[in-house]
Amino acid sequence: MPFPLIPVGIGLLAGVAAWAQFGREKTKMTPERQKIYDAAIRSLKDPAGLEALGIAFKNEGLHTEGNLLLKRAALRQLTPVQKAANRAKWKSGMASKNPKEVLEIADEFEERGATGAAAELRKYARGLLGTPSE
Amino acid sequence: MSELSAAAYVQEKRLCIIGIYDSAWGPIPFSHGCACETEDGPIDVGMDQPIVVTQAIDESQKVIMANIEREKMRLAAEELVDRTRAGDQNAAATMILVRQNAQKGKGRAIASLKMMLKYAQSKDSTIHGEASTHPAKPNAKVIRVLDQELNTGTCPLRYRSAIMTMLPSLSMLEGSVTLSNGPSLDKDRIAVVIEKMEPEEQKHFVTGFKNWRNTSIKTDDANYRLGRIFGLARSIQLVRLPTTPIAILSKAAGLELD
Repeated sequence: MPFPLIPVGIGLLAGVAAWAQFGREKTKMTPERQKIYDAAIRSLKDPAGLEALGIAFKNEGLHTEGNLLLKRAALRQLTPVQKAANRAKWKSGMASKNPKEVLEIADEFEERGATGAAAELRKYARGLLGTPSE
Repeated sequence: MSELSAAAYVQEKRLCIIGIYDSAWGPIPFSHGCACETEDGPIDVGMDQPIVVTQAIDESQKVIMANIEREKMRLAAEELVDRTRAGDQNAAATMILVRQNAQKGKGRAIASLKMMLKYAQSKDSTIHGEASTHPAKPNAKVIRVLDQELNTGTCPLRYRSAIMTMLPSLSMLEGSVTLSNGPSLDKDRIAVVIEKMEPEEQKHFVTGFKNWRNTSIKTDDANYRLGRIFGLARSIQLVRLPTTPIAILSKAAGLELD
């Protein structure tokens, strides 16, 4: 008996479409996820919570967001001495009159997941450079 | 070529004069009307006229020249602001001089300063957290001039002059960062800046100073804006101190580093 090619083809296509749809949902930043992510970035201080969320986001395929949450968790887990060194470094950037140096420090903080600290330094550097935008 | 060309006529017992004054800043159109008891028709200003017409022309001429003079001052003030923003240090120095003369109570300087500030404010809507509409070019030279004045900080009069003259031409961020790198903005220094202000102006300054973060208050008040610039500059200076929490400047940075 010949193999029913057309029904098999239709079934395969449907399967691929479903898989593709599933894949997209899995890596999609839904409004709910965005809300959770934003709240965590804005106010979550608990390192364990940040870490758990970071892993959950990565498991959902949201690697960028997951990595940032994990970096935040790592920042919160620093020793008091390391935290003081970070603060001193940031303050030295805010006291510098050299915009290039300020931007380099901003990049360091960005790399460590301190995006708010980096943004503030970049704003300050814009003020030093006389860039008209706020 | 004559600086002033005019045409005059009488209609329904009113003398109407219209014309153009050719100034160094471009043509200034003018018009004026006043009562004149004579027959309707064109008037040749250069020819002999009945006494009522001559009197009306003389009276009109005074008003027209005063208006032209005021318009010339306005154009000159606007040109100074534009040149300062473009980095012309001579223009910046002239603005400082005007400000100083205004503080000495010289009427013409006071009027000129008001025109400069009005023009500068109308061209500057930069508020912390909002988009800027000025300046068209980075004004590093202006900042340098301002730095020179502000970093000295030893002469209250010069310091105040620099603030009042230069800050309106800078964005909030530029002004705040520049001030933050000058002398410490303690109570005494701020008192120097606001001592010549009227009580109402001081009130606006203090409100802006305390609410520098607040972008919801929409106002064009120059003193409120100046207060916000000082508020942000003061916070930058404070946050540099080793024990000050970072959150006083930025809540986001504070959450990450405090």
